[in-house]
Amino acid sequence: MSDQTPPRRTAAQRLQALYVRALLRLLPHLITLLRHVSPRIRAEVAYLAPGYTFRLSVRGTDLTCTCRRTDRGSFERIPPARVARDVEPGSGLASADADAVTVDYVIDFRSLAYAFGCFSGGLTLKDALAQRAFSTRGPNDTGVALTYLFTALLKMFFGWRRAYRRPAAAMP
Amino acid sequence: MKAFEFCCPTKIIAGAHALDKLPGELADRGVAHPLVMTDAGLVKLGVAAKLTDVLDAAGVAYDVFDQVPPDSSMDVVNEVARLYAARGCDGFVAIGGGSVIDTTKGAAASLACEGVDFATLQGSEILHADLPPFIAVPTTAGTGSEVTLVAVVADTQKHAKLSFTSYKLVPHAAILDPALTASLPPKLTATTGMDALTHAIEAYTSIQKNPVSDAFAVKAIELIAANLPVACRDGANVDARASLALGSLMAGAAFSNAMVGIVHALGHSLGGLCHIPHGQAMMMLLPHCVRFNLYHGVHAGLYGELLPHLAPARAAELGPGAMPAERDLAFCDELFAMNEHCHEQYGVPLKLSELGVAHDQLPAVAKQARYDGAALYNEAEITLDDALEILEATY
Repeated sequence: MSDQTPPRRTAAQRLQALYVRALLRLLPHLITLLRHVSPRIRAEVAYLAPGYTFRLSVRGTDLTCTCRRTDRGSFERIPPARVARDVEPGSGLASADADAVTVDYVIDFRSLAYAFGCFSGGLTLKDALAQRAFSTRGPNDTGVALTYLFTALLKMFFGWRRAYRRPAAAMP
Repeated sequence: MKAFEFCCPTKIIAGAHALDKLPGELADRGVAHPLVMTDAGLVKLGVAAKLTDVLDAAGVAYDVFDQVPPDSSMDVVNEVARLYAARGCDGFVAIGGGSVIDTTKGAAASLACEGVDFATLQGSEILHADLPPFIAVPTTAGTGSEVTLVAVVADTQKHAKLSFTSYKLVPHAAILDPALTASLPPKLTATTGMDALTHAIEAYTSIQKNPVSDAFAVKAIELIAANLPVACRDGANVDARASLALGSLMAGAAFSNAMVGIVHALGHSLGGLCHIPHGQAMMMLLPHCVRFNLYHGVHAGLYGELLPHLAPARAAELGPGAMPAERDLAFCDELFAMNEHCHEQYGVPLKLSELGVAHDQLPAVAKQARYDGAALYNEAEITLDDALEILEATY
């Protein structure tokens, strides 16, 4: 029996968690929808093979989202019960359970504050990377494609925020 | 100040006769039967024997794996892990260049994770277990792998170079003995030295740069710029060799914490697809990438900050009143001049076409570079057109 009590969260943190949870729920739908609008998102979706599955998670919370690319180029949410339990997500190992979905790539935010910062446009994904705000597991090339994809997606919503409004490099 | 992390836990043992301290370092770590990792070339040249002679003299029992290829692969990593377990070894000593040290990192990581296939650990910050005792003895002044958290291992089936990063991959001790690099020919000294210079410059311009990595990068550039020409001209110059090795190590510490960018993204791709040696690729690409960045307004002013450290005489000639753009361009010119010097004096190729790369390979190289792990740390997103433009200029 554990005598640890769950960490006490402030109202602001509970609100942040709710916001991130909602966004994680919406994520596969947003990618599916916005690939029709953005050629950049479309290009990165095309780079990922059908069946490619990624997971976003936030350390210290139960916030997690597993999405799989379909043959049609859309993304679908995979319920936790369908995810393979006999292999570590992002390890590239095949599950013994043929019906289970194995996760190819994991992005694990190191705290709720970092995840909220990225998902609310206060922090670009690139800044988050520079600050080591998340760890990753899986093949690097698809991780890079995912980063390009999420950056394009987040910029569509938060392009007006300061983090995304850096002065463009001037041509000499 | 932007949030950052910096970690360099490696004990550094540098200078003449540093190798003599190896038995003591092993004993301090409780290692009684190390596996010595090296390659066939170093055995043939008698460089590996300099290390095993020290172990023999101290009565340390050891096993040797001397079949690390120039581009190490997952198969070799897993083979080494099996050998280590079968022979009952209790620590690693890696003597060689980046391939030997990175292969050892892979095998040590696999053992730390109870023998899992190293390929399953691709990514960042996955390892949580400590490696077995691990002492790195570099024989080139270039990769800086003796202090970095990165291991680059080739996937021979996919023709790609895979990178693994974790603070747990950093070797516990690094021995820099100038006697081990004294026999390195000028051409190899030049290309590996330019690899180290690229680490320092890219660390200084990476998105993950921080005040501590900047300090390491700047000092590394000073040491490399001052000592690389001397070490190429006079390989037996102990001071130049020792300073160059230290410059390489400091550049390694810088990029281990700040990461690298477009030059490495393209270089990894050229290594994976066209088998261009890493140092050679860095040397060819560096000035072209700097020129490309400057033309597109990337890192404006940053390169110029490095000019006094790369070429103090040129910086003095320009004077304190020089515009940042002037200093940027002078920095780029100096890099081209260094390459030209190595080309004229030591016959180092400066074009991809001279190395047998077919022109129709360039689009594939560009695509793989765009999706290389190093691309993420570049200030500007690397588009296929950008990558192709640089490759065309280097062709």
